[in-house]
Amino acid sequence: MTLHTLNKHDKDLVQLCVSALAPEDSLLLLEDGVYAALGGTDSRLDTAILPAGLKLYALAEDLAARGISEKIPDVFIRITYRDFVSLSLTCNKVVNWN
Amino acid sequence: MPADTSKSHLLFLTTKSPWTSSNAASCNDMVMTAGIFDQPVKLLFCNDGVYQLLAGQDGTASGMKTLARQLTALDLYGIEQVYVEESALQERGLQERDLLQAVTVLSCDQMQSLIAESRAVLVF
Repeated sequence: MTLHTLNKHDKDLVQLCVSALAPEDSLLLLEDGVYAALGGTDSRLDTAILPAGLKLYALAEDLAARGISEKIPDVFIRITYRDFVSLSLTCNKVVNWN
Repeated sequence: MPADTSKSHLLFLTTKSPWTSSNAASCNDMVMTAGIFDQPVKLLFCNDGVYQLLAGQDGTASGMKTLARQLTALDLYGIEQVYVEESALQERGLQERDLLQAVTVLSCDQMQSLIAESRAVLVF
C-alpha cells in the first residue's frame, strides 16, 4: 500500500495522481495540494469516483493556513505533521507528486 | 527479511516538457546515473513528459541542448523498460509513431501495478 502525497494544485498533476491511485492506497493533500479537496466544477479530484478503500487525508495546518478547514468534505481525515510521520511509516512507500 | 526481488526496480515518472524547465533533464540525469550503477530502472513518461519523446526535436536554433538525443541512448545505460501513459498521448494528439523510440503504452491500471511493484517511485 502506497502513500501518495500531493503538494501542488496543478490540474494535470492532480489528474495524473488520481489516475495512479489504487484501492487500499492513501492520499494525503498538503501545502497547496489541499485546495484540490475543495472540489468545484474544474476539479480533477472527484471524491465520488475515487477507488473504494482509498483513504483520504489533508494536513490540518495547511487547511487552517488557507482558511478552508471547514469547507472541505468530511471524507478527508484531518491530520497533523506528527500523524503524517506515523502514516508514512505504515505505508510501503511514499510517492510525492510534484 | 528476505529481499523481494520483484520490487527491486526504481520507477521514474517524468511529467514535464523538456523545453521549459530543467525537470526533464534532471530526471534523465538521475535515470542514467542509476543505470551506470546497475540499478534496475523503469522510466514512465506522463503528462507533458511525452513531449520529450517526440521525434524531430532540435534545440540548436534556440541554443538549447536537445534532451531527445540523450533519450535515444538510454539502452546504452541499460535502461530498456520505457513506458508511456496512454492518456498522455491521446490528450495531446500524439500517437506512438510520432515518438523517437519504441515504448510500451500503459493503461491506468497498468500504471498502478507498476507503482505497486516498484521499490521507490520518483516523480519529476
